[in-house]
Amino acid sequence: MKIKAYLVIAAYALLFAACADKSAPLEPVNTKASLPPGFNFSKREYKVISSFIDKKKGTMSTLYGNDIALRSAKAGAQHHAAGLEMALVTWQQKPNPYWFGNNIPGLLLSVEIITSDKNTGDVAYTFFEGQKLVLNTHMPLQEGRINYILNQKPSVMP
Amino acid sequence: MGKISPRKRRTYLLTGIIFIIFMAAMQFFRPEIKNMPVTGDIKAPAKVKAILVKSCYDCHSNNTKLSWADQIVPIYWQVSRHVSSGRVHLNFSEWDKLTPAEQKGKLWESVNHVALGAMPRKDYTFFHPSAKVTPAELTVLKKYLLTLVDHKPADTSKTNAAQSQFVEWQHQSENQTALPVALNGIRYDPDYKNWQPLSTSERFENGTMRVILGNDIAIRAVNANKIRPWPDGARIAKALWTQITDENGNTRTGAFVQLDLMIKNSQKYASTGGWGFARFKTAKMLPYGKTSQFASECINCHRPMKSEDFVFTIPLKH
Repeated sequence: MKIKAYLVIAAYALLFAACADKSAPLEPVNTKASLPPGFNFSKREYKVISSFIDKKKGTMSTLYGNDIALRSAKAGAQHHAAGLEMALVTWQQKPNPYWFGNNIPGLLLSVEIITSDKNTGDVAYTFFEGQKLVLNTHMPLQEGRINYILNQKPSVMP
Repeated sequence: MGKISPRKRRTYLLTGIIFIIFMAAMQFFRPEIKNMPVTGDIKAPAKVKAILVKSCYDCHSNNTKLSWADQIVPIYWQVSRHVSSGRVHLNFSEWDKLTPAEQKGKLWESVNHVALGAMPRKDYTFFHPSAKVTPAELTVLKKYLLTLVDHKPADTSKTNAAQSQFVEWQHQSENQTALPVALNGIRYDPDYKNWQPLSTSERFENGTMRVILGNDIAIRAVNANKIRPWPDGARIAKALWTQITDENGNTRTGAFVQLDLMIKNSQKYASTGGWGFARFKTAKMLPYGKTSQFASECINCHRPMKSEDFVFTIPLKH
């Protein structure tokens, strides 16, 4: 009777071995790329305007904006849009562990916010740095960044 | 073992004989596994080809080689099913029937399924252990794929196509008359552009870049860390564009390529992992698929991600 028991156990063992799954799933959420909850980015309710990749630096960015930003970007009139709000979020790229041939956001690097006053149209630039998005008031070449961001064409989204 | 009564012994013997006769009779019910002619065998470096032949060709070519164990019914029925469906989805012997872009796509998908442990199938390698792909062999396959990547900066045809599409989109009215519907009944959802992104993605393998967005239900699920599984009603949209890269590696979106949709309804879409899949190509949103069953192609690629509820995206929180 012992042989029978061993045979049954062996059969089950083989069955499990044959059906062995791939390695255990990774964390469900991309925590290193996530914006800190205290930054309240989602409360701004921005929409996606466009996305970019810097292949030399190995970074990827998404440009978001409010409705004024979206409309003016589509019309090519960002520089004259009062009440415009845009945010450029940049991440380090990393390979997707689930797909070879794919790079996805890795570490959160920065958020750059551009706003234009709804009365005067004056443009302001703010720079938040690092995964914790710490305000950095010493960002040089602000005008260059402002122009770069305001010059971006939106992505076609039918 | 105790004593078995003569009556019991006779019953066992009779059952055994009937079983053997039944098994012998079954052997005559054999669906044919035909080795169709090779119209165009895949061309690849010898080392790569050798791996494909040993690990993939039995189900994914017209040169199936059955072992003696494969021939026994009912195992043979399973083998026959695997070979016919394997050839439908991927056939290295009819490689010439695919466009160069399709060939590349199939190769990347195949190697990724190997990397995810989904292929070769465990029930196949159990009986054919030499067909297993070793880590060293997987590296050979990956290195080969990297040689297929196009690193050239965008040429004028790409930038012109993107520009003319952009101008057309700029002048389009916001209102759409009728929304295109895929053959499985899933309608194009123009609301995707108002959703919050889940992630972005660069597929350097095929020169596209993507934004993946989720509707309110999807975003709430992400924020609550409840996405294994995603809740019914969650919608995930993936918008794809070509990449336009300059000599300095700065890349922006080019022409809009397609919108992919995944709609979670575990009952309605039970046959495709609980997700309704649809794809709409170009800025004209032309529904993808030749038959109402087109989504079997979608779920087959997503199948290795079953323990992540069939989703490849690792969402980030805003």
